[in-house]
Amino acid sequence: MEELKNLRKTLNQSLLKDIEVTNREKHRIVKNLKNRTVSRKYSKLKYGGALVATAFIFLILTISFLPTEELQPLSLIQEEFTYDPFVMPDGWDIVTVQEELKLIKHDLYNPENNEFDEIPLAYILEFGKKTEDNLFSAKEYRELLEKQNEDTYVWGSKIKYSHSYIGEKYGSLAINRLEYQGPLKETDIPDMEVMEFNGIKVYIGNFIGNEVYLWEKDNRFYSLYLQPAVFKRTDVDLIEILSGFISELP
Amino acid sequence: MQLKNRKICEKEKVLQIESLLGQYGTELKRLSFLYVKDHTLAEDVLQEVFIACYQNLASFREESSYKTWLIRITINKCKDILKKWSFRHIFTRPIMEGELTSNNTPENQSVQKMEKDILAKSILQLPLKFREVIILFYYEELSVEEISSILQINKNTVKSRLKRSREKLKMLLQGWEEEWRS
Repeated sequence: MEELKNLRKTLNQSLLKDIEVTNREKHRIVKNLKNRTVSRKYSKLKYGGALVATAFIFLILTISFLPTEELQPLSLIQEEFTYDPFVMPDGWDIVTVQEELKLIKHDLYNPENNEFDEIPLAYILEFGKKTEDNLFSAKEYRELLEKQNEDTYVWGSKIKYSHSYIGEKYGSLAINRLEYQGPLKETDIPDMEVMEFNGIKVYIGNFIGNEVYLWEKDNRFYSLYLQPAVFKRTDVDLIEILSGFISELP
Repeated sequence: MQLKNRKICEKEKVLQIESLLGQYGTELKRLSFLYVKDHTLAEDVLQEVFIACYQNLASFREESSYKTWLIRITINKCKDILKKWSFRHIFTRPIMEGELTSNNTPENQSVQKMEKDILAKSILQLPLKFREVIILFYYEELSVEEISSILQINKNTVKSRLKRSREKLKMLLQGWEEEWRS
């Protein structure tokens, strides 16, 4: 292909022409080298105590309401965040609800100073089969908390709900606000296929071993990930699953 | 830049980083953008790359060039971001519609510029595994051997991926051409 022979020049003159490292950026990068290296070590010491204390309080609170927990996971989705109601296959439960907030002030080097938009950017729900009681061990809760802290600072991810589950998770559904997502035209998922389901264009692909279904409806972008384990079960019908998640256009 | 078998003082390390940043900074930032397709993330990747470089400078073995070493770190950092669960869910769209089409009216652009934009856009549309070999081979101008070493895949796999990538790119370009004509 002739076009590729001068790709470097072509891209540097078009797509990448404004991407440069300014002197200011160089200065910032160098300045942050030491700070970041030192602060990582320091922060482990500084925040270690606080983390243990927070984790302890979190554990007490969690354990205290675990046995009587009757929380409806979907009730944790903010009312302002509308989405298309869906029906999960029989035997599926929501085991995690994660809220994603848009980063509005980004401090890469002190992520605890990051600021996020109040209106969620997306919700991510994970599916599985819940255990009768929430059986997360103290260690798992601690790890969850640590992950939540890290993700909340860096990505604006907040785990709103989590329940222990049996075996593998079945999959997940991300409901995104389309104004941030942009129009769905193509994705990074190799060899996407397109099919029409209930009048809606659905993009189908495979990503790191998961079946992926992407579609848009009513100003929302949905991405449904299904674990291979789901397909190994003979009684799970894919069409039934999709029918529950992709409702017909009015 | 002999670094082997001797302890590097902090000042020397910083000078070394400044030199590498000056030499390869823009290139690595551009490479990051071609992977993550987001300006802010590309900036973040660059910082992370040079932190990793700063931390591992003393252990750098001159088996490869600094450029290849930095490219490898950059690709790994980009892939870390792309693998991140929340990123996959939220940023599965790779399209940079606004960035590439804001001035794409015929009145505003020459045909030549339009062609360049279409090529850029088509490359960004390629799935990652095809996009990266195109970028490394044609943009970074690395050899098949170097790509094989960086991506840790067989040389024949690199070659076949390049072939498939060109085919896919050709199809995308034809699609754009048809759209443009219509």
